[in-house]
Amino acid sequence: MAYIATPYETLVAHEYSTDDDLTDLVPRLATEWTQTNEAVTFTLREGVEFHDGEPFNAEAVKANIEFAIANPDRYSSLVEPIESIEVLDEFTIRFNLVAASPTLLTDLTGQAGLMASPKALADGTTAERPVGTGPWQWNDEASVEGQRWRFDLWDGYWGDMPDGTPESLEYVHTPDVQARMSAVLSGEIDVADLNPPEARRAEEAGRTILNYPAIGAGLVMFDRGPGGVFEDIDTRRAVCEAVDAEAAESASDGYMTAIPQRFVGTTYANPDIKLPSYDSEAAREYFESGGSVTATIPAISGASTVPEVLAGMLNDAGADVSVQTMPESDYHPVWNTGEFPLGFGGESEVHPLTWYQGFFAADGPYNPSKVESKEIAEAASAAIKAGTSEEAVGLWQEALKLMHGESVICPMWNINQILVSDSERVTGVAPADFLPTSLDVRAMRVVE
Amino acid sequence: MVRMIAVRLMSTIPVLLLVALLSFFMLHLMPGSPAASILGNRASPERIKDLEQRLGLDVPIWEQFVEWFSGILSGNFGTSITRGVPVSDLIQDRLVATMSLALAGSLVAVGVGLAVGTACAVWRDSILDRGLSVLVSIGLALPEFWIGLILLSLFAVEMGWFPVISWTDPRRDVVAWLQGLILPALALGLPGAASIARQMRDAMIEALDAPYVQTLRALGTTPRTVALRFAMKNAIIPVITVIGFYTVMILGGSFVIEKVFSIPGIGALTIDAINDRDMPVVQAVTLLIALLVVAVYLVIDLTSAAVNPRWRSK
Repeated sequence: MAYIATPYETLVAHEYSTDDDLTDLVPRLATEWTQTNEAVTFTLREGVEFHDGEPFNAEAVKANIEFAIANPDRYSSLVEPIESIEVLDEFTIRFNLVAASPTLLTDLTGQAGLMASPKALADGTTAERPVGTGPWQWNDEASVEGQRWRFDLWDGYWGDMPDGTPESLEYVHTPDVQARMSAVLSGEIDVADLNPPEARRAEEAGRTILNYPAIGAGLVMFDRGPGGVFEDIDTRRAVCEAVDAEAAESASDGYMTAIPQRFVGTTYANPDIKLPSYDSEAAREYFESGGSVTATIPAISGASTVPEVLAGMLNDAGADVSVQTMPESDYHPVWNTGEFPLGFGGESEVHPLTWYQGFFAADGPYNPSKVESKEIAEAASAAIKAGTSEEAVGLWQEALKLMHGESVICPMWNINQILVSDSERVTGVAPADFLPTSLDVRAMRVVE
Repeated sequence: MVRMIAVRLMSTIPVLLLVALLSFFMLHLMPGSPAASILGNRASPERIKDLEQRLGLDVPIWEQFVEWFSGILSGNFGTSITRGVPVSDLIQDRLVATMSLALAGSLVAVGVGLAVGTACAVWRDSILDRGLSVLVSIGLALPEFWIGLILLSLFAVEMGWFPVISWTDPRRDVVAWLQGLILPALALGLPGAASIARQMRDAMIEALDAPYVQTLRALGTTPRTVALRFAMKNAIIPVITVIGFYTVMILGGSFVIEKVFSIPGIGALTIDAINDRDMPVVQAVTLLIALLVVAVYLVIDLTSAAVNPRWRSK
């Protein structure tokens, strides 16, 4: 995301506010907006141009959303709530919604909402040469397909960029983590994400480390349908009690941190949520009551330590769980399809609605058994109807309590991301708000 | 000779056809739909079905194969389903890097291997022979990626003599291209060099012990001429097959070295394409690699025929 957030901008953005300790939506290419359950209306910023000289206006926004709908990719489902688009005048546009969508604005702060030049979209060149309105523009001469992508500060940018903003940004594809570490140590790369062992070596060599939670993960019990391994809630509770989340954290060597609930530290955290704590005796009793588990956990070859540890803990409590390793390319298409009744993984949901839609809704991609609790569906529906009102937060907290109580995903951890930088060359290295797997390039400053 | 080339070229046709068939059908047996991969986990089954229709994945697999293969015959490798650009353009961009690396690695393997093997045989049982033989044994035991990481750590990070991110397109800067190829070529070529050296040493010793060499020595021919002009010519015949084998191995090894040295070659393209289920790219690359392997073995056969008249008469 950092790569495409360099040349592109979105209508609105997320920004951390120290006033209320929360992340707020702030204007970017839209200066104002109003949202109801039926529509979102944006007033667009005037005097903005794309890097190719095309004007930014309501027609450009319409072209981008229509392009996202017509050219399906992994982000196009995020604009599905938009039923139709109305250009009200040159700088006012309205998205009419299929149904209330409290996450639409948040989704539009990411890849689904990037605004590209309508001319470049029509030419079909954006896949190779991005043309947006952002502070940095693509440098074709200095870029190498598949290896490095260079962007230079653009003097036609509509906003003011503070002193110390990098004159150019270069992204280098360095797939091997050892090579990334070597490049950081040799000074060829200023910022990189590393794994804990390599990050420790970089820290010893004087580099600055930023270790933060990025992706939610947990043991996911997929087979919850009639006759399924995890149909009985007591069996699911047994799994929750059988695993010592903190011991698994230690075994992960810094890759993950145990958390007491999903959305901890956000406005949606509910103090009433209590995940079952590790108790192997209780786990045995639950297994006796609900039925024990015979299952296989899929894992990526070379990254099976944590699943092996989890399987060991479950087996200590009387289950019969094994781990099947496979190449990464085989793992992703199958881990959540229900082919395996139990899985270890997760996603970086930023809103309870996304979590609900993914794991608890009957048609959720992480709910292959299609089982849905009526109580949870009603609670989520009430929260969705509350839209973006203040009342919605409380309703989502209630819905989250019910979702945690289902013991579908537990225990839970945050997968950590580690950014390593040379603070003698750059400062302000931080993840983007609401996009924890991405670097906030606008916050970075070059040390003079 | 011309007939032999024609026969060898004709025999490549069924091989390539078999590779095309196997790669196409085996890739379609892999778990996961390309459409689902493009749309991500959150896509509804309706959207996945819709995209499968757009990509032509809803028709019977035989029809898909016929359409793909007839495209290949007319030089059209299709369009990458994740990048939306012609596959031939993608391969063309990456082929320069992979071929640079494979050729440089082969040069190291053959050059170092022949030189070390010959030196060990000529100075048999000397300290030089024993020292080099120990190095050869070590070289045989070390995998390419490990050598690459050690070279990076030592010469790029500690000494700063070479870049870690080593690839520069030769069309931009030839000197930087050559400088960036040195460490990857050594990492890629040294295990092959060790094997070729061992084979060359044994073949040279056998040649140097042959009666005609004793006769040449008795006639007063200098040791240098005996070794380089007469013995080497015979010794190299069995080694050529080993060289061919290692050239193919180097092609495969380059995929690993590309990753270690961040080189944007065919290997990196293939790994990304496999993870994205980008079938047109994977199929085209598989076919290309098969073609390269067939070409390498053809060159080896022709070289063997050129240096060995008995082989030619077969």
